[in-house]
Amino acid sequence: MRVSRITAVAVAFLAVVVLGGSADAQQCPKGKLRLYTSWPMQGAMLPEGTGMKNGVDLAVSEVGGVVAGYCLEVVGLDDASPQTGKWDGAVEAENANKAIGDPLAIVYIGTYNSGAAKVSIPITNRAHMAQVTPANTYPGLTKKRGAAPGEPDIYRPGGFVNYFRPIPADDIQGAVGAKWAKRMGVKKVYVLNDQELYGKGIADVFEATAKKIGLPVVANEGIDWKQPDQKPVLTKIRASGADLIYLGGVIETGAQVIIRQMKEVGLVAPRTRFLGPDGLLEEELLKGATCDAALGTEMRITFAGLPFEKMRGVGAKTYETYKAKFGKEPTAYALYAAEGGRVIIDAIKRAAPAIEQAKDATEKREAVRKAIAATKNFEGINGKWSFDENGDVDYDTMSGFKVVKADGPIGCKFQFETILE
Amino acid sequence: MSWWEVLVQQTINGLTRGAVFALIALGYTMVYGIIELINFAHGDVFMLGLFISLAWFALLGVTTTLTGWQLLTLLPLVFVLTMLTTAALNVAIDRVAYRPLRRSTRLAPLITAIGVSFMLENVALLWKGPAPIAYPDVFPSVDILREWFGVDSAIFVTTKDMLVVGATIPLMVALHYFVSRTRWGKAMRATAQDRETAQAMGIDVERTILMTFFVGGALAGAAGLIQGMYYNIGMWWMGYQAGLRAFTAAVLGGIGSMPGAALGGLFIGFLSAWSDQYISARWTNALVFAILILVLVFRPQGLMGERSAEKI
Amino acid sequence: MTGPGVRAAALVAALLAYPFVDKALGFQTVHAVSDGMIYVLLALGLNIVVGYAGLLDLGYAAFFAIGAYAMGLLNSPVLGSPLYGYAWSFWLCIWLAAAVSALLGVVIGAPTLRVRGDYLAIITLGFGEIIPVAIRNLGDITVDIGGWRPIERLNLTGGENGVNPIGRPYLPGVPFETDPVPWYFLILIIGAASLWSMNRLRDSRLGRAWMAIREDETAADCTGVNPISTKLLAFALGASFSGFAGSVYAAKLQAITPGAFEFQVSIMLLCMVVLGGAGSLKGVILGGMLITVFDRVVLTQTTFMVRAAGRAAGVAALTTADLTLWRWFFFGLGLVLVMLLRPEGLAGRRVRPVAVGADDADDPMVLEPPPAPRAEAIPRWLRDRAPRGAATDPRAPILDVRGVVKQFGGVVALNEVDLLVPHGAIIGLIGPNGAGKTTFFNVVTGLIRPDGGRIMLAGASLAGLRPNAIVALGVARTFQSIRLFPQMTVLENVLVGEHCRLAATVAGAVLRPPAVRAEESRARARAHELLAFTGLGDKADELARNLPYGDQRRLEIGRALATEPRLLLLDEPTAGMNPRETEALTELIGLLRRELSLSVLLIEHDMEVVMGISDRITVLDYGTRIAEGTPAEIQRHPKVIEAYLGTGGEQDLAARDRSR
Repeated sequence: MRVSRITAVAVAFLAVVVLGGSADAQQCPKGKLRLYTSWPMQGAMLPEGTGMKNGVDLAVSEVGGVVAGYCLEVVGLDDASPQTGKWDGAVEAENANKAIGDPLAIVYIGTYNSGAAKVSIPITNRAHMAQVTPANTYPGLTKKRGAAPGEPDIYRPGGFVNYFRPIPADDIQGAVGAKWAKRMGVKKVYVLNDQELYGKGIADVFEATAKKIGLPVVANEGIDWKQPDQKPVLTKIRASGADLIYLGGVIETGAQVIIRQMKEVGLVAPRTRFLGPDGLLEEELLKGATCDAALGTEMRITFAGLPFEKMRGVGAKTYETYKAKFGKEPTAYALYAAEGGRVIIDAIKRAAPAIEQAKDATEKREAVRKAIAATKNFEGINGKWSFDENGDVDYDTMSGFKVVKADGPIGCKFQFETILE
Repeated sequence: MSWWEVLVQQTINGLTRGAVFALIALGYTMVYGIIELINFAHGDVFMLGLFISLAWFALLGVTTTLTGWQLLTLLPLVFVLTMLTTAALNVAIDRVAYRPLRRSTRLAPLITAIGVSFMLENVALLWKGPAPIAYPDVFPSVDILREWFGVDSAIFVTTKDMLVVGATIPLMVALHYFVSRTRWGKAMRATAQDRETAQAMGIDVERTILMTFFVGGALAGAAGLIQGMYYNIGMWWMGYQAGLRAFTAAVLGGIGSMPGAALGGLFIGFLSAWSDQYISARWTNALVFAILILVLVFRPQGLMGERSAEKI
Repeated sequence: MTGPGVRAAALVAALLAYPFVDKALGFQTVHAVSDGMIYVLLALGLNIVVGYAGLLDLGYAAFFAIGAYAMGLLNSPVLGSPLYGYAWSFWLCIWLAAAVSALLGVVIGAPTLRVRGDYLAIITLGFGEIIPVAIRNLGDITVDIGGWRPIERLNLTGGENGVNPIGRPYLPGVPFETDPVPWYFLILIIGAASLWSMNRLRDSRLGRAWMAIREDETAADCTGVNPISTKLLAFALGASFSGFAGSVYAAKLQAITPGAFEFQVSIMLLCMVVLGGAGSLKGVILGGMLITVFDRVVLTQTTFMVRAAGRAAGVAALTTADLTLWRWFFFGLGLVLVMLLRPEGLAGRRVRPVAVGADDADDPMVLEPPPAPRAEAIPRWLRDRAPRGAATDPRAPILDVRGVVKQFGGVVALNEVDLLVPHGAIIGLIGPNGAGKTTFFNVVTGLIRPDGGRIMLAGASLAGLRPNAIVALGVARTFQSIRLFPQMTVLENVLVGEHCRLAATVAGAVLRPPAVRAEESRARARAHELLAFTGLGDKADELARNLPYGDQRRLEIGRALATEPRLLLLDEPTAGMNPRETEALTELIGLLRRELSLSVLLIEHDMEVVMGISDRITVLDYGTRIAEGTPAEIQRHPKVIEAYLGTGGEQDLAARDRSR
């Protein structure tokens, strides 16, 4: 009985592998290299997941799928859990192990959720495989500022950096947010967080920075985002007399509820305003929170990098190409996925001789990892940048958005307001 | 705001919160009283009630705040339509998922209830999407103290607060009348006490159970509509959370007892609102469940229920 | 006999060869299979609580979390709290994690002892909600008492960050760091050991006690099974298995976050147990496998196929369909369908539905007359244990009840009742319905605590003792409405009766040293003898619920005899029997007294029986003893006649009760 069941599982998995990979008939004089991607590809995350996958495909298609004689093949994996539809550590670990177990795999692209990256980085690190994320912004993955004790060394069992992010981390965004709040003339902030890795992390940095620059923080309180009723918490904020609510959260964790109900308890500008991080920069938020409430609270959002329409040079071109190729606006991290893909392709190009001389998969991966770490003055979508010794980008361009009235079915939109440093 | 103003405001928050819990809790307690089933799907019927009422508003062309005669005609109409829809849904759930298992083990209908709950949540997720959605301001919001009485106070009491109380109390009174005075109600009480005897006395037990699900579903629908109009937001996952708290309320009040469910709902409402203020929102859930466990251990019959001896 | 052996060998070979075949073919499924096995192990632990002991647990993920965090906190080299910071070995931590989980199982189990059924489910659900919240919140504790902060931003659990990294097991030469295969074997070994021990537990004194509690807690209590320790043991053992699973999960993943232990996980595990068939180890494994495979494979594959079909048929809607979005819908639907079609689970024991009215008293279909009880069939061991007054003073009455009072609210159920049962006597207890006879039994057997009076068994007070302790002292009973353990076999029912005379512990049940083996085989032999004596010898392996009515009555008496009683309380033993059965039973009671000098206290409505067999009779009416004497005296007693006939009655005593 049990045997046949296991066989059934095995056969089914084989089918997945066979159907997942695709045969290609390209000319590959030096053979094939595989890029593995891993982020949620189902449920609510499907649009963003597809967007990021498109970004990687875009980068690969720009070079015709061939780099220095190597054919590139993108293998898309899903790290969402069967149980919850959200990312899951066990699945992410499985994906990373799948990648390092494939001798043709050269780079691991992912993840979307910083929590998932915590699981996969040590795995790829042991295999000397570079991991490039288009979306993780949790600081502790690369640096000590805004990190938990022991981070980021715990992710580097090999003692070297293999994890790179072509996107500024949250410690910068949280700090920039606090400075912006001060500039806006805020007297007293009430910080809320959704008790998730991203939200709590960025809220903690905001709180710390605000205190440092002399902006009083009443509290940094975790909310139960599953509740559709946040009036008691908002009443508490009203009683505290804070004139700004900073919410560390994302649209999946009910920021809409907070904004929607701020108006109900009388928390509107000029009495109290709202500021949040880029996890809230989605049109979906305005639909749920309603423009009435968003405008009433003078809602503002910080964003890591430049808005797509403000990009110049490479950024502007990438934005246009993406729209032309896929027929829709890029999702929030789609262009960073393209950037990550280009960084990898550039590195493979530079590492080609070393790859050729490599004896085994590990040496090939090591060559590419070194090449990625050595990326300097890269022409990126936000301008020229280099990786620092942590694997972080060395620019911290941030932009500030404000909700304004607009035509269209929603009735308002996020409009670029200012560049933040 | 001074400390007493905060307390008053949070108590109002707790009252409105608790009123909605109470309406949901009634459905739990009625069904449990009659077939001893923890109807896990009940919270999701409430959640769908919110989305269904939204659909009825949309169908009637209501997108903005109702005023005047529209308020007096359309709002009751949507109440009735929503309650009928969720009542029918609840009855259908019973027919399909619970009724065939009446003579089965206790575990079987509980598992199907969980299954149905998953199905309803998935339907809502696909229908309305994963993110919270806005519920339009169909009910006018007027700051009563300031605008009607000219009192300048830090306390907000709005017409919406009145709506919650004004809709919940008549529903509960009607339910009380229904259960204590009508033939159906008597049949329900008789069936709850002893199904076999009720049957022997000529009561159609299956129809009585059906009626129980009908009434419970209608109340859940009303709660969904009130929740939507009051909090102006709906999400697919709220059924589970609200259901859990409402069930706690039903147990607190003594499961099977209708006044108990109402009081339990209010108690949970106050407790959670005060906890949000004076402890921290992140501990509220833990506190609610800790109270639940303490009550079950030290007063298992609930605050209002009677201890029933096991027949030996 | 080669069939099963070959199959088992093939199974073992396949399990051992699987990871290497997988590696050779490049499937890379070992990780997924190992993770699936962790969940199956969890489901097996839950099965002890739900399937065996019948305690519905809706918060089992809490134990999983505790196991994982125990491993994480002990075995992580980094954590903000000063409490930690030194990583212990995995091989030590896994035992500690199991112990911590077991301890928590007792902590969570303790409050549930006072409640039953659904309330217990709610309490576990409450703990299931509290523990993830607590783990999340304890990562950042600040206690602020009016500005004084004795604790500020203390990190005990890692909060939303979780614990990361967690050390992996170390064995010289085994690459736990990089290779999934050692993990597969580690989990396989733990899983096989767990299965092996669970299998042994199930077929032991403890397993039977769990099932008895599941079937009928009150009856189990009155058969000598202590419900408190039995339930706590189920919680503790169930939790300890999840402790193993949780710690392996944590160490394998090297990172845990509070989000991985929420309600959905509890429900998923419960579904694994119920889907396959609660109580069946095979079923639980099947259920776990099915759910894992469905989640990870079926939905994605079906999506592929639907899309392909859509492309072939040119239907645009199908080509973009994503069935994974419907996961919970299908999952819920699957649960509903399985419950509707096979409520006992896929691999559960198919139970014949009870025919309506099966316990109707006058069943005309009794074909064969019950065998007459024979003195020589009385098991020798029962004779040997017969209380010939060796240990106790033979002159002292076996049961001496003085002035017992019991009130329910304002109703006096027992009012200063005295009753005496001499050694080896048969005493009848009669009275109209509602006279307090069964209440009297419940007081004597400890189910109800009296408000006053004293109860002495062979000179020793029974005050404050639990029912199971009273059974151990030698008082056995039957119930007015038969209370067997319906889903257990006839043999198991009798074996539960022997529970309080056996001594096997958890370790004994699992390891089965010679002493335990001998005890168990002796117990079985005795049970078979007892069944032969009560005329059920050929029905040992039938489920108790499938027995005809008369057999059920006799089985209940057989179960009571298995507890080796000195005093037997029979509550209307002949109710619903036909004259032939009644006659046989009367003979049996007489035989027991004659051959074993067993004392019997008998509630009986059949006046012919009670008058014919009793030495003396006590009559209760409205909770008060109105008469006491020999059968002849009682029949003439004016108060008794009045009580039975009331004012306008015309029937005689026996006729009135025959018509009942």
